[in-house]
Amino acid sequence: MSAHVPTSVDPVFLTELLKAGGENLKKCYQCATCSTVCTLTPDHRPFPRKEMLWASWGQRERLLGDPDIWLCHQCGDCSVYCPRGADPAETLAAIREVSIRHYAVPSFLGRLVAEPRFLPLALAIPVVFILAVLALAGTLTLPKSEIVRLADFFPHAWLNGSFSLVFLATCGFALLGASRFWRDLQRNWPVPGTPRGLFESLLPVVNEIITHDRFSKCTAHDHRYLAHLGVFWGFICLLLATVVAILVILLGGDYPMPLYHPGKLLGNVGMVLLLSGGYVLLKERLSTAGKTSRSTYQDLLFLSILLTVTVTGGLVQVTRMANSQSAYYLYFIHLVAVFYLLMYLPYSKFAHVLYRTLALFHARRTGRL
Amino acid sequence: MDKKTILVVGAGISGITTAIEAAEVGHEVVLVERLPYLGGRVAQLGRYFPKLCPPYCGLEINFRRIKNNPRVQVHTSTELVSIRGDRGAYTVELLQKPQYVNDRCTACGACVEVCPVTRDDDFNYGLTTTKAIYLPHEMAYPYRYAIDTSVCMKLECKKCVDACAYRAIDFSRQDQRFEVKVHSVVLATGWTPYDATKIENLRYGSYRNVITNVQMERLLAANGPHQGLILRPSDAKAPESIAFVQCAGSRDDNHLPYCSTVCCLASMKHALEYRERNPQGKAFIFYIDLRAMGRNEDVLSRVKADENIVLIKGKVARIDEEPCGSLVVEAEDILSGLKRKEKVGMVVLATGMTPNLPALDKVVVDEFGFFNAEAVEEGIFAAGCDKAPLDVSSALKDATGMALKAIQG
Amino acid sequence: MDKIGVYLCKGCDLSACLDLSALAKVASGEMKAASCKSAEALCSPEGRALIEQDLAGASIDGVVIAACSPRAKPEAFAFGEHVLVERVNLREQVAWCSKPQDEDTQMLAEDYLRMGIVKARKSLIPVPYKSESFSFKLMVVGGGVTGVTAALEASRAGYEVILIEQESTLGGLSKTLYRQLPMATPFRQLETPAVVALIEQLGQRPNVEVLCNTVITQVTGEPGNFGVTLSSNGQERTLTVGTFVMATGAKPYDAAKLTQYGYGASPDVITNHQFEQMAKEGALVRPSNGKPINSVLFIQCAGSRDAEHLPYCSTYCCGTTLKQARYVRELRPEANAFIIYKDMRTPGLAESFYREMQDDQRLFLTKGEVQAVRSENGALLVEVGKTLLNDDLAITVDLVVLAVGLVPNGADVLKLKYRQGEALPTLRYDFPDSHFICFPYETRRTGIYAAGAIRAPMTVAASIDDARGAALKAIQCLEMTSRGEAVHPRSGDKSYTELYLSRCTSCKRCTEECPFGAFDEDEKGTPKPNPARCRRCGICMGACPERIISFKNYSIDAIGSMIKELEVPEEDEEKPRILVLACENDAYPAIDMAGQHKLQLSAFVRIIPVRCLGSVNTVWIKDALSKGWDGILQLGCKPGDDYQCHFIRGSELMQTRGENLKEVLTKMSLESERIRTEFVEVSDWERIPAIINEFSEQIVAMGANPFKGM
Repeated sequence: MSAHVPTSVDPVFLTELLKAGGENLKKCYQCATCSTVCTLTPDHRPFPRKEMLWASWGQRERLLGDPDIWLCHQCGDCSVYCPRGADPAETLAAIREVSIRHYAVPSFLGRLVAEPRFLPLALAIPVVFILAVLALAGTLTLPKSEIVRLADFFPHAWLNGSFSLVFLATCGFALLGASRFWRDLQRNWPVPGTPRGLFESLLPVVNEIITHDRFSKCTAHDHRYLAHLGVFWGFICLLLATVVAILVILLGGDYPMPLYHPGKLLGNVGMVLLLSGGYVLLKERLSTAGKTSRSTYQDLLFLSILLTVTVTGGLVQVTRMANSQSAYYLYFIHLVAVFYLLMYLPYSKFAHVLYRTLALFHARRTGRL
Repeated sequence: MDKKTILVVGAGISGITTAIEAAEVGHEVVLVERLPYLGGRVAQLGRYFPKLCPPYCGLEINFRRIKNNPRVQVHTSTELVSIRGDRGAYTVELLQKPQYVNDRCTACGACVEVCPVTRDDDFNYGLTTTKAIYLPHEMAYPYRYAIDTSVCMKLECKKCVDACAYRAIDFSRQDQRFEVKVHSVVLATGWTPYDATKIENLRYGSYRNVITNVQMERLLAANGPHQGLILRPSDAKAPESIAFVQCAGSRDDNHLPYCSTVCCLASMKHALEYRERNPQGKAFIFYIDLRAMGRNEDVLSRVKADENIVLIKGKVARIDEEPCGSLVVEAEDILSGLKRKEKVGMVVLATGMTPNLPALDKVVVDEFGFFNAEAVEEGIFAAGCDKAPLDVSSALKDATGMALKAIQG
Repeated sequence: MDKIGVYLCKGCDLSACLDLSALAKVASGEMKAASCKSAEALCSPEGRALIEQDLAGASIDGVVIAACSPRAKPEAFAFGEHVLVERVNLREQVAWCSKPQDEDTQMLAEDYLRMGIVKARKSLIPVPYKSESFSFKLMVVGGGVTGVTAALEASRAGYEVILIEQESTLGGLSKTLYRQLPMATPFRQLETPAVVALIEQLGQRPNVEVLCNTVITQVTGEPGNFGVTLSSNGQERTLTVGTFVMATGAKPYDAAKLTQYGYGASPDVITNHQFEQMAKEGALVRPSNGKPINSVLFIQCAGSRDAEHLPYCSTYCCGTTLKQARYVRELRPEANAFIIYKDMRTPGLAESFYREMQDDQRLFLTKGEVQAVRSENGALLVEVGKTLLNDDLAITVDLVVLAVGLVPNGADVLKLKYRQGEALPTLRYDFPDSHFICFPYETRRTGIYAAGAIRAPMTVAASIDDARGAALKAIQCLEMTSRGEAVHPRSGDKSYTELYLSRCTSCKRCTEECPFGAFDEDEKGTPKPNPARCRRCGICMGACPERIISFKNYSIDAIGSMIKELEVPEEDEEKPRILVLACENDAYPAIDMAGQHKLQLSAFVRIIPVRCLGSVNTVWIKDALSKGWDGILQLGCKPGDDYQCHFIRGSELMQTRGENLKEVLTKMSLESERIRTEFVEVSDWERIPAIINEFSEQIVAMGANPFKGM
């Protein structure tokens, strides 16, 4: 006789899911329409039907180490066709959200980012941090110079140094969370005796990230895939532009860089991509018409921060060139948003870059994809 | 016994039952039917579960009961217009559409030979055509021809008038409104199959070999499109396999939130009959829950005993067509945890029932359109599938009971 | 009937196909009909007027209509109950299925006309059976929700009702309920058990007598005249009632047999009925220690849909478990409830309550198979396989509830003093249900209608529906019987069996074979007919070796004469004659419909409709064979488990009698293949030509009956 898995339900976990956007998940009656209409699911143990039942049964262990929740791009097809209105897409999003919180190290940061009531505190931290760094750098007052120069406000060394330090810590925390996730993946979905080779597994993941070719199979809202592609590449451009800027500064090049500088160009292209993609995504999230995916606090917050970073970044560039004092204020806001984005990466929706990548890799390695 | 007159609206098997049961007690019954013939949906069925017996058998007996009972007054092509008054003294207005073929018709069939117009045969759910003048079916009662007024050219053509030796066709007939006074009213207006074209992902209407369960009944019927041979629409060949898609529109918030009760057993019956007629054939039934109540479980046991009928828990949600007309149905086989793509020759959608109640002030319906008995005055009743989706036997228990309610008071 | 008027129709191809003047000569010449007339279309007002005129002139007392099938236009040829009408089917079974203007076709038509006239001569207008006294009282047996409803609804229709209940109070199984599943839109909230209000309403009815603590010790007689002996608290009492509704209900399956679920081994494994009781008492506690439960697991189909226990689905259990999960929520808001099902069966609008319950956060459902229930550390460990979670589960709970099925209470509570036993005949699984989908109140004991869970497992709502239907049928039986009419399926038939008892040899065939138990027997075995129980199938007539049973309009003599009085052509004419005895309910309409499709049939066959194959007496066969008929084909309904015979056993009996017939043939030195029985359905018209023509060819090949011309 096969071993019977001791099974208990975790009502707290279930409540968390219900609150995180899965409020209709109990309506599922296991017809598996969702698994069939899903264009992304593997054929073996497809999702999201099983996740729906696990969620309904409060199966915390099963769900937290479940790679499949990360294979979903929430196109919403399953929710559209769900005969019971159980909203599998939203349920999977809720599981992802709870999962991010679960793997948050330290866990209080997870709660800080997850709960709307902590938003002021979450914002206060970067504000205080930046003010403290400025105080240490001795630039706690607005520069008096005629020409607006951001480095006068926040010396580059201080900025790059302090942000890098914090980001390093964040990366450490993120790695801890990711390794716990990886351990759970291994436990719940052991890699078969002869897994697929490392590169053989990795290459398609990289390809997927770069091209979004799986995401593009979500036919329900194909503009979402394009928008996300825009945001993704926009972000990459901006990230690269930032790296270029730091390098330019470190190497003692001209800074601010002139508009024709490749780094600058890259940054502005990124900004346009990210803004347009982000705009489409936010608009869709905010639209209430039709039976599209519902949005949670996390969805909206993450998008808002991303857009804030981009918009303020753009405005800083414009005001700086216009030599307006407002550039300092905007720069401050920009930095707070950047801090928020980067330092809270493992705790916000941004964490999907970690978990989805790992899950994709795992799926390739185990041959599920 | 205090003799009463009751009105029964709808002469499907439920209405026929209420009418004849009350009439045999000794009461007067006015039985009205929208169509030119009696029998309703069951006349279009191939066989009943669980016995796999032909509905014509019971209709034969019931028609005989009606023919021999002077207390039943039958009005075909007639609709209910209004109900006035209160229990015990209702005045009911009825509208009889012109019946251009009168009771002089001997059903000799001379008219059909000359009729130049063809139409989709709704009796066969569009699988075949008839002329504009047609005999509804082999056991139509009254046994006479009918004219589809929506396509007939009437006096512009009148070839049938000239061909009829019995002067049975008369195009001068007009709408006739008349009133009857009745003690009570029983609605037995029955059901309509859910419109399968609304279930977009199941591709009914775009893939020819995706048919509905009611069309399957016609294929199985001795008087169906191929005299009981199961041939698929695209090429009139026997499909080497058939997939049955349960809950096609039923138990579905996007369509019919309720369960249509009969579809599971209907599909099991179809699978058994298909297997009997095509011993090489294979049937797949994709289901959510198999609902075979009471001793109908025996039908499920028979299905399970046939290794060429495969039961798969998991709803079909995608169908693709191949150039040859075969179809690939896709579902998750939940119990094995694998996605399953099955190539089949034909797909039968187990579509559900929607109620047909008339829109009248006194007739209150529930959220799904079924008769809401709690909210309707005592004196107006509904029988059978007007109340809920029911199998024939349950509908007839109800219809018999409604005969009792109708003669009370 | 002596003065027979024969009417020939010229319509519907008849005049084109047949020589009508030759037919007229047969009628008025050879057959000496009082008159013979023809019309363009007999069914037209003009044609009818012709016949009515003759009837008004009293020149005739019987009418033979040689036109279409008796199934067509009966209303056109109904001239009141005092006029005997015999239809000769020249359209569907001659003109439409035979070669026109052909010698054999003409012979066929002429033979049918002869047979029709003979039958009309040998038939009488039935005189309805009326007993001297007649009771219009209804007795309802069983005071559960079905019985109470039946009594209440019948009384509302103006009939006097006696309701008897063996317990001291009314309510039955539904009285034990804490709450009941919703019966009205929106089907989302539990209701007070309906039986409470129904009992109250019943108490206010003036024409209802309720007798509790009462059982039946004996029932004799027939509809309208049932003699009932009751026993209440040791006191016997007799009374007369007209009809019965038997609503004796069902009981839970014996859970002691369900040891695989730990019933009996742990006190914390209980049935859904015990759980209902617990909820009614207001405390959901563990029987082992009296502590409130924190978790409960419901096992669906515990002993149902199970070949080892009850192979059928008990219908009520899925809904009941969902209802009981609601009790858990009401009484123990924090407790978890698990449901392990095979299929969730909430058909129709009951689906709404399933949806409602799914929103319960602490209700956990999965399909699965419970493989073991064990006590472990004071709790119950339930092992479940084949789940939808894609794992086998081990779930620890405080309480296990078995959703057990229903088994019918005995079908013998009426203690019928019938020759065929005191119980209502049952179908599979001991339910005395109707075997007919179209006729859910078909009963094999006329005047006794089973209703509610006695005849099939059902919910409260279905029982209430069923009670009304059964009450109507009981009332209908009273009214029809009082008018001397048969009830279903020959409803309205006023003929009934008459026995010429002085020639009876007390062989008991009739008393044994009547599917409806219409005959009682005296000590010697002589049949004592109960005409009001009779359903007019004629199976007794077919069974009787002494040929002493007949109906006014259907008798051994009438049908026998049709067979005997036909001229059978000599062997050298090479015109074999084949007698087809066709069940009038299914085979005969099928032949008609073959005609409608213009399918061609052999012109050597002569078809006689019979009420049921069971009514065929072997003497007809013997007579036919000795008269020189070459073959006999019997067409009846399907026998066996899924029998379609409207008289239950007619075609089955025909098969057993067939064995005797073979002996007859052997004695006559005839091939046994000269007689064949085929089972056809009403929709088998496509098969009819093959059956008839193949048999006809086989007979031709076999050569002539040597008895021809003897």
